[in-house]
Parts: sequence; C-alpha cells; structure tokens
Amino acid sequence: MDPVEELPSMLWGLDPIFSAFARLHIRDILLMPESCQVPDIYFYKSHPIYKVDVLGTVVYKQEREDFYSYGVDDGTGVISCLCWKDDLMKVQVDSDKREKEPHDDDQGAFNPAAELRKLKRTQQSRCRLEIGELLRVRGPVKTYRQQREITAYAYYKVDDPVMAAQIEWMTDVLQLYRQFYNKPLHLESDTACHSPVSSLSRATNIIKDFLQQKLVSKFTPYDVQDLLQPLFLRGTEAAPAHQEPVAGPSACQQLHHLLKEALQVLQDEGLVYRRLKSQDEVYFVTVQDKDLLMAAKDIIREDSKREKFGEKGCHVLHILSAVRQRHSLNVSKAALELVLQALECNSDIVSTRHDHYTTF
Amino acid sequence: MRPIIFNGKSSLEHCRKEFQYEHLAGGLTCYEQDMSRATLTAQHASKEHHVVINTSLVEPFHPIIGAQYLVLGETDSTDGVDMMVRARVLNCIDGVNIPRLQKAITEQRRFFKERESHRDDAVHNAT
Repeated sequence: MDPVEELPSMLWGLDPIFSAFARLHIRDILLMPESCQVPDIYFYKSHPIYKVDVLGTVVYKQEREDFYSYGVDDGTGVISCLCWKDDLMKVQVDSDKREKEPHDDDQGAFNPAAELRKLKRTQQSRCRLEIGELLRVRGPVKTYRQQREITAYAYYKVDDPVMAAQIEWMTDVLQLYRQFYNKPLHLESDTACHSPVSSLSRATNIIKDFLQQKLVSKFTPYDVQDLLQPLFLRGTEAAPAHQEPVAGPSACQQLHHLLKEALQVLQDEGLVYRRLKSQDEVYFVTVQDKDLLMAAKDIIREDSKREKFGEKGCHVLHILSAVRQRHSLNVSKAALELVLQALECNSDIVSTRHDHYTTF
Repeated sequence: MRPIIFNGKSSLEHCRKEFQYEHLAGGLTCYEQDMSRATLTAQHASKEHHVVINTSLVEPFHPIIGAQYLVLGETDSTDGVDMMVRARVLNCIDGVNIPRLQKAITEQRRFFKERESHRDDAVHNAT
C-alpha cells in the first residue's frame, strides 16, 4: 500500500477491527495489500488487519509430522491454513497401535482412563479433517514463500449437515462488511481543537499534574494562572494573521475565566477546597492538608470508642458533619471521601463496610 | 422439488469475466466415473438447463442420482464441452433450507456486483 495513504502504525490500535479476528472473504484476504511499515500486517480499505476468522470447506489436505495444511474454500477463494498438531495427536498414532480397548469393569463407575481416551478421540475427530468437511480457522495471516496462509490459533471441524452454519456465516459476513469493514476509519484529531469542553479538561489536567508533582498543600489562583498560558499561546498560533481582530473577551479575560472554571471543577471533584471563604482565595489541596487529615482521624478515633459506632463504624455523613463543625464548613463530601481514601491507604483507618469507617 | 439454478446457463458464459467461482445447484442426472463427469439438471422458466461438472478434484464421489447437489467451482472449457465447471466442492443439499440458501447466495452476488461497479466508477472518474 502507498506509504502516504497508510495509517501510521502508532494509530493502528485505535481501530477496533485491528484487535478482532476479521471475518473477511477469502478473496479479500488474498488480495489485500501488505503494509510498508510492518511486515505481516495488511490493509483492507484503510483498516489494518493481521488476524482473520474463516469458515470453509477443505479442498486439499497435506499432513506432516507436526501440522496439517488444509486448503479452505469459502466460496470466494481458497487459502491454505497451517494447523499445528497438539501433542495429544502426535502421541495417538503410536498409542493406537499398542492399546486395545479394555473392558469397563464396572458399567456404572467413572473410569478416568476410558474417559480420557474418549476425550482424546473427540478432540482428534474435531481436528483431523477430510476433504469436503467444513473447517473453522482463526489466526494471523502470513506470507510464506509468496503465498498467503493462515496460521491457526484455533481450528475445528464444524458439523453442518443442512448448511445452516454456512448460510448464517455468509449473511453475517455481508452484514459485517456493510456495517464495519467497508466504512472508513474515523479518528478524531487532537490538534487545533478549540471546543470549550476539551480546553477545560486540559486546563484541569494541567493544574492537577502541577499540584501532584510539586506536592502543593495550598495555593492561590494567581500561582497557577501562568500554567494555563500555553493553552492560549497554542490558540493564537493556530489562528494566523489573516484572522481579523474580533471584539470580544481578551486573552487575559479568557484565561481568568478558564482558570475559574477549572478551579470550580477541581472543587467539585473534591481535590481542592477553600477552608475560609475570604477575599483572598486560598485553596487547600485536600490530601495534602495535614490538619484536615488529622481532624478526620481524630473524629473517627474518638467516635469509634463510643458504643453506638463500636461495631458498625462511623458513617461517612456523620464524619462529614463532625469535620464541618470542627475544621471547616466548606469541606464537601467528595473532598472528605478523598481524605478517607488517603487515610485508609496509610492504614490509619479501616472501612468496616460500604461508607463506614473505624479505627484500630 | 422446487428447481433452482442460481444463474441461467447463458450467464455461465459471463462467469469467467465476473467471478472466478460460481455456486450452482441442480439435480444429479448422470455420473460418469471413468471420465469424472457429472451432469446437473435444473428447470428454470419452463426450460431445462444442463451443466457438466468435472469431478476430478472431489473424487471419490458417491453419487445419489436424483438428489440435489450444490457445486462450488471454477468455470473451465476443455475438450469438446464448451463450458464445464471444475468442482472444488460438491455437496448434497437434500434437506437444506433452499430459499434461505438462495437468498444468501443472491445477496453475496449482489454485494460483489456492487463492489465491481464501484471500482469501475472509480476507474472512470480517475481517467
């Protein structure tokens, strides 16, 4: 396939068809072009394919010591399938000659040796096929000596006396083609995306990463607003000179607005909270606030001693009201849950049941 | 028995251009083991069609004269007979849900035809 048209290999995993055993017609499997980037990966209409699933009649058979090579015909073409033999099947050839069928001593009793022999025989009957029988094969496509073949991960004989399986296969495959394989792959492009939702999520992620990396315990909006500058610079680069200046919020105002929204999201998630609602907005990072952690721990320890909470433990809402009384009115339930999680990870408290905590 | 022949005999001649493989069905009327030839007959629009099948690839073949068979194979023209089908698969389809089978095969044919026409259109547009 033309290297310019091919999807870069980094993005192949994004195509769900790449991870599935594609049920293509054998004709398409034989004709699909190979990738220039990686050998043994093929493309069907911009979808990268490396493993397939076929159902067809055996039209030729070759047996070797370690494997069978079956030619499978599904009505659109023939492809050879390499089916490795199980160890069971290799041994069977010898044991067949040596063993005779012993009588079951007890008709009703479970005889493991006889059952195992039956199992082996069933497995072999499913794997040893003759010409004209129906075979199902799933596995990767490889090119060996300029011939395409399928190396079977799994294969078995299909009993289909009234062709129901084949008819169903034919109709299902056509459906798959129409709904998935013939439709081009759509990938959302990450760059130059100015939608408000994604810039908000990017802003919150930037702030979250900063708080985590620097182990910040408290901050003001002024401290973090510079972090969001790159989002706006990227925006102005993408819109080059030909765009006329539009009357509207300036970059500075947009940044403030974005910062405010991002901080609100973080508060809603419980990652930060404002201990005191005062003029200067000071935000405390929940899990880094030692005072809050200590307060929660003390509350749980004291209340666990009471008979009321002795067995069951303290409910999270009870802890929340106590923390609000003792520490700060602005602690939200989400923030408290993060605190309790942190305490539990440190083994300071333990959860007795869902939403109930106690201490040792 | 309801006769079925998925393509009339005339379209067999187009076969070589259209598809490499063909699905054909009909009742087995005669089998010549020494020459590896079988004849399938089907009635379509009050006309009897015969198709000669080369069974060399599917031997040993146990014929049931009168039973319906489905052939999957390539069209071939060899010695004396103008159009023969070299069978890769020859299945007895007595007991099969014929309308469903016919529907599936017609769907598949239509799908390939659409694809060929899209390809031809693309080639025309490119030139």
